[in-house]
Amino acid sequence: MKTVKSDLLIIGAGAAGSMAAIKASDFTDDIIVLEKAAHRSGGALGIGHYTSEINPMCNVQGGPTSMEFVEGYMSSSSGWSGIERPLDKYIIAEEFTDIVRDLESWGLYIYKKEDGTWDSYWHKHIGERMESGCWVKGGTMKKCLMDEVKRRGIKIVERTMAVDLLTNDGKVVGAVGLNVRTGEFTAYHAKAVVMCTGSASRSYIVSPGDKWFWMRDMGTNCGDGRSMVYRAGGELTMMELIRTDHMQGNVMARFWGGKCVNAKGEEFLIETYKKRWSRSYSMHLEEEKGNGPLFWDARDISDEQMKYLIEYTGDEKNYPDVLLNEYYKQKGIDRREAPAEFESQPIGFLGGPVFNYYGGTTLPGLYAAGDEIWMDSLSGAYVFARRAGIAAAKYAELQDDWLPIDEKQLGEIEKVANTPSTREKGISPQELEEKARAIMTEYAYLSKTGGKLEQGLRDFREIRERWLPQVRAENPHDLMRAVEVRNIIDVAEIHMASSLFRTESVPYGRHFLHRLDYPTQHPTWYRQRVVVKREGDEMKVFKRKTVEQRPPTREEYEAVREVKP
Amino acid sequence: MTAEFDYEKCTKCGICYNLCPLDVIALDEKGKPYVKYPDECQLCFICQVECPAEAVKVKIPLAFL
Repeated sequence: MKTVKSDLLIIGAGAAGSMAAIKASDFTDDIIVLEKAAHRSGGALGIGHYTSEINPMCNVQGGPTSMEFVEGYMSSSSGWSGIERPLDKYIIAEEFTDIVRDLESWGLYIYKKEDGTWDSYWHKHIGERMESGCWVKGGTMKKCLMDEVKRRGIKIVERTMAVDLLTNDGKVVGAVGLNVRTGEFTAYHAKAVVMCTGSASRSYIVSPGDKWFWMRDMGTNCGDGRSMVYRAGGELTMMELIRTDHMQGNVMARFWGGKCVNAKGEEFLIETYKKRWSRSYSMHLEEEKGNGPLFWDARDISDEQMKYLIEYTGDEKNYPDVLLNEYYKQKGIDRREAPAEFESQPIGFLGGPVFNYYGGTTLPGLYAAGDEIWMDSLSGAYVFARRAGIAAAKYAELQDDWLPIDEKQLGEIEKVANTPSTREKGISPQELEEKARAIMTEYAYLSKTGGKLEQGLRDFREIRERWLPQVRAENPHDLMRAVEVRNIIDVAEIHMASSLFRTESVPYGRHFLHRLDYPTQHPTWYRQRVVVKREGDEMKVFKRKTVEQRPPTREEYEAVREVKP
Repeated sequence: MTAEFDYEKCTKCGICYNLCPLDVIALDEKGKPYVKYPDECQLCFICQVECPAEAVKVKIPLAFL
């Protein structure tokens, strides 16, 4: 196998991977970034998610202060869940605005007011967290990162996915990459690694008639990083929290005016906001009460408001609205004539590798950022990617030399990953993925019970013993899908085991665990996180107490302000 | 079918093939793009948006509408 050496290896070239690479390049020129798709199309930004507005914008233009933002957060269901780490949010509030200034200097188009200031907004939902942000031209979001990566001469290896991490005595020393077009394996040997593979969005089959790639989040993102970290012995947490949202097309529900109503035409969100439920959880509960389907009713929006909405979100190159507008057009919906129906979709999990304030995971030499860790926002992805990139580069600087690769481990990783292409007969990885996602949809969907989760876990044991060893890949494309399906199964089992272990229902912002057999929050779980770790071939699941639930002090932020390896 | 190509407009520049994130577009022996794995198309519209010749139209399958 060919070996390629670099100081720093970054896995994934989406928002987080690109940002980590750019910020790390202030410390080292020797960076390699692997991207499963192309740089332009990789990650959630590539296909246009999160791109028409950015938030939170704190400490600027009349927006909230960092403390106001964190207090708003703490009073919403996220803070209320008791599993928050409030300093994370304070760090985002403090550092994101500077990152937006960087992005603007790299070419991000931010809409301006007549006086030349950013077209920002600042409002507070009833009982919800403070919203503050500004409008941007979506088409420039990924492009500005690409341009800056190019200017800095950072090397992106496209159509190459990481298969597994290489370790030496528990320290991460690189990863094995697979070129998904040639089927060639390469060992990427590094002093430090940053994992930025995004969400785990390919875990469910959304609704009857839907094909299994029709979903909101980026289809390439199927939990590769979480699964690699798990297999390498790293800790993962909060994997029981499912993320759901209500979509039109595959664009999530946003209320730029208008209202969300149930089948009776009632505007139910105001009541649930008062109870401090998040929008997603409220919408899920409303449907479960039998009040679905839910609609976005924009009939009352004034012409002026609609014009504003279309101007800011309707640019044909301004993702994500190509999708949204094509969906309205092809479905034949006129938002001014009738309410448009939402479809509920699970789109991944909140949790990921346990990380510190510098993005460091529990494996020395391995950092993580973006949706990989519990940062379900673009601002969180950028802020912690900057931190992880700098921390990893500083860690690499401290290493005298590359720790050697374990040749036996390298051979084993290649053998396991490549076996599907050596089989003469068997089942396709696509067929197995459909089955794995069907099990998840049947036994671990939005509302869960212990009995169903146990049955799902039994089904996955059979999948591992009987069907995974039969996967056959006829070409490099299928080999990619074969590597992915193994990751999808790992993530599914971790989600099921974590959900079974947490014997309560808990909302966390857009994420939640809803156990029909434990329908409320329980005091014994307050401030407790579920942690998952692999020991030998066994999955170990345990509780760990998290930090005190209060807004952090300025001193606490100052102590972590400078990024340390 | 998801992405539909207008081969009179298509210049075989390969941008759609190079960009498709889920790698569902392939090129035939003459360099013409086609959807090789329609079941794996995410309907992200990147091929339609980025095609310089405006030769790609993504048609949302009836089941999704």
